Amino acid sequence: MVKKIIFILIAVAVITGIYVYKFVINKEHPDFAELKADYSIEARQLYNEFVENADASASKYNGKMIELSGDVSSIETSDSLLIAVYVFNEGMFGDEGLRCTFLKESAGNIKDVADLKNKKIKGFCSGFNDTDVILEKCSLTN
Amino acid sequence: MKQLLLFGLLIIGYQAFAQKYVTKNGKIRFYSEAPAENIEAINNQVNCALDAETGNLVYKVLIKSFVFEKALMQEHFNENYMESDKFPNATFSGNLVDKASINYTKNGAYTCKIKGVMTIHGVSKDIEEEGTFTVEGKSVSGHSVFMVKLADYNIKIPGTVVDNISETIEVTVDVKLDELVK
Repeated sequence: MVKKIIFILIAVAVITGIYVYKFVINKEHPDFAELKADYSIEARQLYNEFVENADASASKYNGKMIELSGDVSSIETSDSLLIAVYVFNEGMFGDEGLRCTFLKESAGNIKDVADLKNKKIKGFCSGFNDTDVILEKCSLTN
Repeated sequence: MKQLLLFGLLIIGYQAFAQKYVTKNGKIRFYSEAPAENIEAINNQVNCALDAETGNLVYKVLIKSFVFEKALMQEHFNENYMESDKFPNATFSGNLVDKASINYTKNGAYTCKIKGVMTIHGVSKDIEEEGTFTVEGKSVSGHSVFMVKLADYNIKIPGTVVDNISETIEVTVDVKLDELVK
């Protein structure tokens, strides 16, 4: 009986250890393309909210998935990144607005601005750096 | 005619001197080497501006843009150590100590000291580090590697993970700044 209890305790400890190692310590990043948007908003409105009240907007949007509508101004590439840029202002760093960095697997078919016409972009909001609102891990939702 | 030529040269000279170089896709990597594990994070969304005339250099970094290999590390980094909801940005604002040491009209690599105030986790601290600036046509690449002591910025590492995170981390900055065309 004692042997049986010890065996069960060891088995539970091993299973718990494997679970913690696989699903807690080494849990994978979420599949951002599959995450549901917390907010759906027009790109210019999101930018204006951050410019008018950065702290309140940071509390509301930072770390959330946001779906954007509106016309993309330009496409940039940097190393392997593809960035959709919405321009609404100009400042010391040049154009200011929203910058949306695409997931590699979501950027494949985007070559220029025309490919984003009437499309909505969904991404993880990492914040406002006083010039731009940054969305990362972006994908198209329609 | 001579006056017109002189005026033209003055305008060209002013434009060359007042030139700004910027990027919004700069890279900052940090690396922690500790007995239990090595941790690396990369941020590809760094703003940097260099004013060739004044030697003024500015960096702006969103903390939530650092990407880790493991999701749990990224969570702990944002929630427990950097408190990125409370302190979303890190910044540097300073100057090239010897701004004349860089010849923006001649391709080449120039070493220059950088002095200014770095703000991380809401704590501002004077720093002086060395960087290499490589002029290539109309772009300037900046590279610098320096150490940051976490305690200097009031970043506390709990005793339970003291073997997992180094007290001092290595920061590598790489930016390719392009001429700002207005």
